[in-house]
Amino acid sequence: MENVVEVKNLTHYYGKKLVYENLNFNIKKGSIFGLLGKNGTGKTTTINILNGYLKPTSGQCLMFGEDSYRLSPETKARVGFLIEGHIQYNFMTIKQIEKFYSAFYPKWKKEPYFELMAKLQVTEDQKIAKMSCGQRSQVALGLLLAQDPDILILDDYSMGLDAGYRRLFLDYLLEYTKGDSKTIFITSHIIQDLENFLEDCVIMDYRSVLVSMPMKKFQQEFKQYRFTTPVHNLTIKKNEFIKNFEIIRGKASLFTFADKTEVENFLTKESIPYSDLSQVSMTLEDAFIGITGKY
Amino acid sequence: MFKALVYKEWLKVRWTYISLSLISMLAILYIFLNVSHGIELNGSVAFWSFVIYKKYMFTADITYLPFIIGVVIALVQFYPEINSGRLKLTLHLPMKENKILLQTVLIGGGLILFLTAFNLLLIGVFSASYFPVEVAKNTLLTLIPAYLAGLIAYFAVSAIMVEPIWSRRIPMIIFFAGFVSVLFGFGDYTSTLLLFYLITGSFAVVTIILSGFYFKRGIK
Repeated sequence: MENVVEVKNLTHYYGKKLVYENLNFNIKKGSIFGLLGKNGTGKTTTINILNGYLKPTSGQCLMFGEDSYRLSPETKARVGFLIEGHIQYNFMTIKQIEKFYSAFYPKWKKEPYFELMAKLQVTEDQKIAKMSCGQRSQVALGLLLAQDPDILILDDYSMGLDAGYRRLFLDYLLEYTKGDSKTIFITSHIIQDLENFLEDCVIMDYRSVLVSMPMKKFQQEFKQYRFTTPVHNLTIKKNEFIKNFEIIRGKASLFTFADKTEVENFLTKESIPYSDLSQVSMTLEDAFIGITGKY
Repeated sequence: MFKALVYKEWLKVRWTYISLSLISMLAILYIFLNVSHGIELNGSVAFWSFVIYKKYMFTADITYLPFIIGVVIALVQFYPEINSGRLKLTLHLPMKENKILLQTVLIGGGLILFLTAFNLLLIGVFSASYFPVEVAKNTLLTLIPAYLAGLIAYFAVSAIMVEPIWSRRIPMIIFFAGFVSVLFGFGDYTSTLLLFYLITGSFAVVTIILSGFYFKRGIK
């Protein structure tokens, strides 16, 4: 399938501080892709590079086959971009901002925008600056839908939104993009909302990528095992097999892609005394915390 | 697309621009009320000789007004852009980034130029009604460096605001402050020097492209 975004060996430093090294991923046309990670792992940096607001230290980032640092106006028109915090021109009113943007986009459809605005029960002369964070998120989403882009890049759409507005945001996004081969690239710090939303994901850690795979595969294959051990200060280092290990007063949690037999073999081989080994079901948020760690 | 950009910039600056236009009109009225008062008080011959032989600049009170207008318009136009990284929205518009930035400052510069022309017309008409044409002409010529300073200050402040890093902003501030301050310094300027400033000052227009380049290369 055609790739809309190709990230190849992307490395970025802020001064001497490494953000990440050799980041690689592709986003397929029509897919819903999530870039997940804790704060400071480089999600916004990646989005800035993708939109041409940052020149990477090395590597390449292609958007519709064009170097993202030098996107042509035609390609920019195909990209809908939601800035972290739903930033828009807050000196404009609901009506003015629609009038402004409509002049730039040939495929502009004002209906979804005004439909969303009607739900907010605000007048068209309402200034964006005087709207709540939730209402501003609907303005930003409405403008994106009206632009009718081929890819929507949403940088932390959930920032500052309560559960209702977060749900509304995703519901509308899905409703207006389904069946249209639209690609969605989303980052969020609220993971549980994306549980049944994402198709592919990359989970980033500081300076590296932890996971890059289809979401369903990750949820099916990434497992948490709990066991009890008399060794209260037990430490198990992370490696290819053990993705994370935590212990509180002899109650241990081990995160891995391996099955139960492999875990048993590992514990026996390492001479770790254990009892009550069992697999624990996880939500996406549990799995995310499991693989990234709590700290 | 240019019309849409004009619309956006106008929405940002309209109240400030209208206020500054009124302030400058009132300032010009005040100057000529002073002139009228001076003539009534001292007699026209005495006042004229004061202007012609003593080089009394009756427009001295508005020398810094164009500079203030330039700086304020740039602040009002670009503060909403740099605040919360809104410039990213502007640069994401489907146009070449340099073209967007250049058109944005040309819109602001055009508004200032229009106000300048209107102010100079008012001053010219008032001057010519009180003094011989030669005095009116010299009054306008004497004010040109101040208005040029206003325009250069506008382009400079715009570029300084778009520039994302203070270590580059500070040298820009020092350079432009020095450049503009010279325009307030010469009473007895020559037209060659003015032409030099007009040409070198026009480079201030494109400084924003350099700032935009740095903004794009390394936004924080």
